[in-house]
Amino acid sequence: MTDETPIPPSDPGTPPPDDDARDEQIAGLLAVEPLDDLTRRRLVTTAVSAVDAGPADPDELHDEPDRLGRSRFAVLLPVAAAIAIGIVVGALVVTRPDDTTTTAARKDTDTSVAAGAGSAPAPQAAVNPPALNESSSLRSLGDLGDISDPETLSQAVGAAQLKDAAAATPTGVCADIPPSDLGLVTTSAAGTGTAAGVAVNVIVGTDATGERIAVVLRSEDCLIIRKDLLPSG
Amino acid sequence: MSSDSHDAAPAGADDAALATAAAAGDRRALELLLDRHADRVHAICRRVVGHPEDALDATQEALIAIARGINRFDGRSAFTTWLYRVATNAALDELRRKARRPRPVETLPEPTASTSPLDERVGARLDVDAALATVPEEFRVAVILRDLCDLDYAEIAEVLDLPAGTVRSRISRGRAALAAALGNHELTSYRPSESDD
Repeated sequence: MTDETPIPPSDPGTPPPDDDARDEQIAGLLAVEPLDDLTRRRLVTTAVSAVDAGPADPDELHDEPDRLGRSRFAVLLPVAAAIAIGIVVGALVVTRPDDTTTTAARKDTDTSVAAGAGSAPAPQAAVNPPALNESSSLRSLGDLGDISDPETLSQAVGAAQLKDAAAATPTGVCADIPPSDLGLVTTSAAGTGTAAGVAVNVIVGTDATGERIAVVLRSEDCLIIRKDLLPSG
Repeated sequence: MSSDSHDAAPAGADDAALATAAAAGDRRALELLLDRHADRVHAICRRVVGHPEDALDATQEALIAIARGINRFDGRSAFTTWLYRVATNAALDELRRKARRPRPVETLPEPTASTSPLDERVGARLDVDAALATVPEEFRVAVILRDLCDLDYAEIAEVLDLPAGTVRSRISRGRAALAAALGNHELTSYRPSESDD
């Protein structure tokens, strides 16, 4: 399941957009005519009158980002925490020194479980639901070098995962993107590299079918360039 | 409309001062505050929802929510950050309500052979609404907050309660999706990625 898209070449005739800047062309397209005075007065008057109708219902105010942000995860957090704690307890039970098969089988799972063999930070990391997987809990793959083709990327990721990750090695600016935005269920590792001369971030995770996927994103704007299937295990 | 007996905030006061006065019961301050930001709220609703009448409904809901919840604004963030958050949520609520309502089929006027500059502007607006409707909500909102409302990445991250990297990604993908939906005729700076989910 490789979805490879060549990196778009720069157009010498058009200056590359400064992605941090407002796009004036889009701004022009999206511009909305101001309300006419009558409509504005009506809207404002109705709103002010509604204050006299009674105090706000907390559910009505709706000032929490409950759809686009992470507050929905706060609702699911206790359930996810209970499940995650159960997984950690199970991992502690089965990953005893004499149970090497189970330990090996869990090698590629989320770091919160892999690191949970008795270490103090594990329960804290384990209570984070997968969608809140923050960059600090991702295993760092370091600099993977030139990963212009999927074969090189696969080899580089494999080699990086065999090494002890340096704690100070950055995981890349795109590492905090929720897995769901990448088409993944969980993310486990992140690193940096280059592809066709462009600085990229690589995020490794699993998709809904359980496949290990490496998502390559352009560092300057975290735009997904391609997704490569990685060998399992 | 009668104003409260202690109209403390003058018309030229900043948002924080007006919000504080409004929270204390100053109806005139509340009215000034809402009037000042009504266009901004409407612009968000108009582009998120896509339909003019539904956008007005969403705008009204947002202004009511702001008015009735003004005493919950604690001043820790800019007033506009809170305002944009309420407006965005009201627009998304309306979008979901609209999705659940059966709607009659709308017939658009047949395109005429000759187009005046006004026709072209109207055509472009219809194209933009139709194009925006194809962009996933989370990307659409990010683009609207950045390019229409001119919020910076940090402000958008605060409004949407997302990491900055996610904001950056959603804006990029939203812009690319919008360009693709417009057939790249309107936007010349983007080459959409085929890897978008």
